Amino acid sequence: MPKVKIGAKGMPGVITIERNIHDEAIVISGALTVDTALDGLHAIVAAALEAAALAVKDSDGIVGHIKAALATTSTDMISVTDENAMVKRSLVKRVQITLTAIVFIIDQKEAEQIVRTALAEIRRKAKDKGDAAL
Amino acid sequence: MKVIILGGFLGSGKTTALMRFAHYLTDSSGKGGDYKVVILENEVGEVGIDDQFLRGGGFTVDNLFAGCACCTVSGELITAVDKIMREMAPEWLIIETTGIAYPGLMRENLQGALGLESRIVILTDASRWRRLRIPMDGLFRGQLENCDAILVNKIDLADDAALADMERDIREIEPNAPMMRISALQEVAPEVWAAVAGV
Repeated sequence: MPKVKIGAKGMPGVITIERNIHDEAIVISGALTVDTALDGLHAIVAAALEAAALAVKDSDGIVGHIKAALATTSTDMISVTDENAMVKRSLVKRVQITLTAIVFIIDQKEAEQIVRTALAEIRRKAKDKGDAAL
Repeated sequence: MKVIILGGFLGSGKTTALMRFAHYLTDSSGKGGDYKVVILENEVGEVGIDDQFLRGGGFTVDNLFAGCACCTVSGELITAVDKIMREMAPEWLIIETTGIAYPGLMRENLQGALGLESRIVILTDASRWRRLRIPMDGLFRGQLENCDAILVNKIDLADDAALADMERDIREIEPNAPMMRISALQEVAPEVWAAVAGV
């Protein structure tokens, strides 16, 4: 099974491409980490996935599925300097976004570009709302 | 250990149905060991997505990534199932396949390597059947042939005529397996899950 890992400098996240598992499926996995408030992020990711699905259809391809998972971690701090503990909650979370697209009947390079664009859009919009994309 | 192989094309609702089915088994099983239900998740991508979601639902989940358990990681499937059987000994093992897997091959491999019998349950997507039926014909046939139960899912997104056409298509491929309509996003009747489990 041919497998290519691509993580070129300046590219958003890491993208892995597999193809010909069977039935000519092209499997593209991507990962991106952003430090952001969760508010609005789901809508950004959903819009990027919808745009990706539309791009596959516009190329006469078939979308098996395009899925993303958002796993969050945040660090809260509790400290005591005198007698009373102080709780500081982090408003920003580190969000690991993993994305998998499985598509059919589409050129591999084209599919790869569609996923790159989706990740780039997520990163750009996360940045636009004032948070840091790593 | 009873084994259910849950298959069906991408987007057919396998993970959603699995969560409901696992709850049904957990609620209806008798007293057993530490593990009533263990889920083995197979995903073709380098990173798992469904397994993260299932773990969030409180289930015990093992996973096989970066390959399809019917072919490219079939050896790993046997190793994983053997380990689950020895170390966890659950009452039920549910294997969620990738959407491009041929579950019949997995059943043969489990039987041949471990002597394990398994039931194959296939989810089908009523909302996309008409669009995908012809381009995905070979895969749909391979998944449905000789399965033990068929769930026609997402019936809320298809009209009666489309459902009737779809069920006719399916019957032409697999004439014997019981076929039931569901919408996995809503409550599913316990009788349906009992038929899926074969109990």
